[in-house]
Amino acid sequence: MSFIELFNYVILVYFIAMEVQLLFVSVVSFFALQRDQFTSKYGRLHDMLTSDTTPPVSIIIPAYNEAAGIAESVRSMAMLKYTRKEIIVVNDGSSDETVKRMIDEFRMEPIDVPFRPSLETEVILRVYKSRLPLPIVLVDKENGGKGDAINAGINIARYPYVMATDADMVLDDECLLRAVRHFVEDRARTIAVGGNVRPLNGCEVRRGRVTRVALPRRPVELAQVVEYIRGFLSARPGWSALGSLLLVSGAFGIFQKQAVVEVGGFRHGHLGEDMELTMRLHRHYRRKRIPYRIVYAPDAVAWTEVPLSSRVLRRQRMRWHRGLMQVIWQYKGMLFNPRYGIVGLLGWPAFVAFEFVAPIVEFVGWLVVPASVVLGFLNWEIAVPLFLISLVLGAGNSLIGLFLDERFGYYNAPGDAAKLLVYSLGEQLGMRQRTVWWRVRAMFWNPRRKSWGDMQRSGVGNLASEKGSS
Amino acid sequence: MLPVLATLGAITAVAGSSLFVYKLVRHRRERFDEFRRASYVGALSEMATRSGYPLEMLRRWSPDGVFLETLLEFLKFLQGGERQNLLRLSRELGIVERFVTELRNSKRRNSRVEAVKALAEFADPASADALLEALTDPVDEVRWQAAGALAKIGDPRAVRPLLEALHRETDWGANRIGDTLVSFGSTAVPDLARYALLNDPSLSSTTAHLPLVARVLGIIGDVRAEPAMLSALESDDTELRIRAAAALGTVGSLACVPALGRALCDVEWEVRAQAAAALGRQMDGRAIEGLRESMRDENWWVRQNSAQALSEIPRGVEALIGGLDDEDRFARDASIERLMAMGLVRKAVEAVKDGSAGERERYIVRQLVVLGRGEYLKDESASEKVAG
Repeated sequence: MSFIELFNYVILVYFIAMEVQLLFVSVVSFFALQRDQFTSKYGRLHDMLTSDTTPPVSIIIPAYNEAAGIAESVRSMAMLKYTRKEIIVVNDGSSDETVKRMIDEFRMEPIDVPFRPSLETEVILRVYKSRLPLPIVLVDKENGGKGDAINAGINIARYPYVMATDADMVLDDECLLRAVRHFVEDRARTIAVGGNVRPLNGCEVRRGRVTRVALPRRPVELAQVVEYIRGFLSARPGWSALGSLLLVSGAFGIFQKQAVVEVGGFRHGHLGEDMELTMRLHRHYRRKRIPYRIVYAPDAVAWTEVPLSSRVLRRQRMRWHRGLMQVIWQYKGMLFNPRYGIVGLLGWPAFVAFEFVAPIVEFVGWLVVPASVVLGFLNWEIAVPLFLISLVLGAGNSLIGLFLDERFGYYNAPGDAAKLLVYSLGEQLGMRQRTVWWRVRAMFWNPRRKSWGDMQRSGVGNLASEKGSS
Repeated sequence: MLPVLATLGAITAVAGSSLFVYKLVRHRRERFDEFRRASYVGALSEMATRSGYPLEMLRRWSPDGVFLETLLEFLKFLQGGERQNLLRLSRELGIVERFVTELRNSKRRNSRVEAVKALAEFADPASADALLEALTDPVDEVRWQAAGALAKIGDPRAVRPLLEALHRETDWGANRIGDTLVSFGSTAVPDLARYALLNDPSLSSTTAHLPLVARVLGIIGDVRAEPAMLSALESDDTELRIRAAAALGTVGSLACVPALGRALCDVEWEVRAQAAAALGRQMDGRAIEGLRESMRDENWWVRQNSAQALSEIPRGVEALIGGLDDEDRFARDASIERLMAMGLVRKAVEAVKDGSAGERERYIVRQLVVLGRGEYLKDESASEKVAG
């Protein structure tokens, strides 16, 4: 068997393994979503609004140069349907008017609040409390990155559960209720719950709420809608049901405060701080043999602005991929290690093999195919159908996500349905290759690290008015 | 390769087209449902306000799921005579019987759960037997909905079956049943108290749900539960002690104050915090000393609850003001936060500003300045006057 033949077989086996894994997880996701939706619909969720067993939650919003949308965002959080909550905005050394905006909008005044810091953070300059009858706290601290800001919020938080979210998120009315349900269901074991994050672009937003779900116009945004659906609905419910959810999104995740403090909080300056924390929680609880659950709540929906341009998207994806690489390096010891149960033996290896290795394999293919053409090795009869099969399977994966998304009933207008289908097929040519290229570049290019993304925000309110005027 | 490609391509094409068609059909159906719903809303609004209605037309409508959904929405929000009109209409149309039959006979869990959810809205005593049977349904959600429906009907026969069902439930289910038991009110107390004292031989002997029962008793707030809660306060189970301490705030008499005072020194902060809150509700001066000490607790909740409790007890405010020069910084902070919440700080500042302040007001403002909380003195004049 020649080297080329061996290479072909390796690639083929890898390819089949990836598809089998995707299909398997999607099937598990289907049943998990079905079960979850049934409980969510009939499980007397609204009892939680009046029940004293509903735990209070501290909502932490780390903010760095978020003056454009911070007030709207806080108002939106304050209107969430929930019994007891406090909102902690942590200004992470913004150079814009984030603090001033908060003070003006919510009549914040400085307070001298004593607390015993359980996590180390950059210096807290001042703590403010709203004079309005709203439980809003503003923490002004020196710049330390997103993880550091969340840690500062955790130090100030009074309640046993903390929700980490972003300032540009628009949350559904009942998302907190739906996410906390999982803690109430199994209070002793549940340490983290991740929510379902969907792209906000194209939607109509009024008074801090999504009032009409629609698709955006730009192709780069549309491709991300398909991508988010695939990631949050095909994969996460399945991995969560298998007990191997490896990422509780920092954009919308709820954690048991004590668990986060026990493992040392969010890592400062990490590029994938949310995944790193999730992995650390898995490692800690598995090592100590403490029963635990990290769960995904698909019905707890939060909406986020996704990048509007390829330039910003590239930066975001490269940052994510470098974050992933950092996490892989840190937790390499968990790979195929039976001590970490299903996480070490299935979830983590699958994640590394199909999230990290996949772009490398695809990129190697790009190099090998032209080389083979030049050297005359390429068997066109096999290569072309194989390439087409990979595109069809890619589109198939997106379609599975769209089928699973039918449970939520979004994007049913004829135009939206057509656009989604076209993009789930179309992203295979162009977007997919671009993403692979960015990921490969991220492996070699190591620019000055930035803990915060430099994505330009239009602000929730601005987005709404933009939509309204269009 | 080509056959594989052709097969996969065909599957993808068929799946994509099916999804597209499905979305279109769904879109049309939703619009049609909206249209019908609008008609039903108009008709039901009319019918709710009068006693006669065109029964033949309603019979044609009643099999329609959208009509039933709309009717249930109306029942959720209507009260009094209007609700009675719609209930009478539902009986005449045989809707309640239909749901009872569905609940008893359907093999599909969705049908049963929809039926029991609907029966909860009707809250018709005629459906109580079927709902009691549904408490043993294999589907969790059916049982929880049945429990809720029985609570709405208020049939006390449901209390014991609900307690029996507790040990089979998950945390979530048990909590939902707990919420249900609360709505039975005082009629449920004898059964609940017997359960809490573990002296009901006919019920399961498990202790896992005792904290939940203690919580329910606390919310109902019937003094007949006091002996059971005092006994629970001595338990080794932390969760039970927490719930018992909280419950004593509402079910306890003055006799429980010494026991709650001892609970202020419990090793678990949650017990201490609940005991402090409960002592505040008892409003007994014997608790002042213990609460004053608890304002130095290492836990914020305990300090806050203790300060709040002091503010509720006669002469407790003096102890709070005394806390302003406590050697412990956290105790001082708890005092000042509470005094601010009570509006006493603002009053003291105003009094100092307009020159009507007595010694107590001057002391409060002086301590404010000493503690570095001068931001509440909107101008410097008050602190200057105090200094002067």
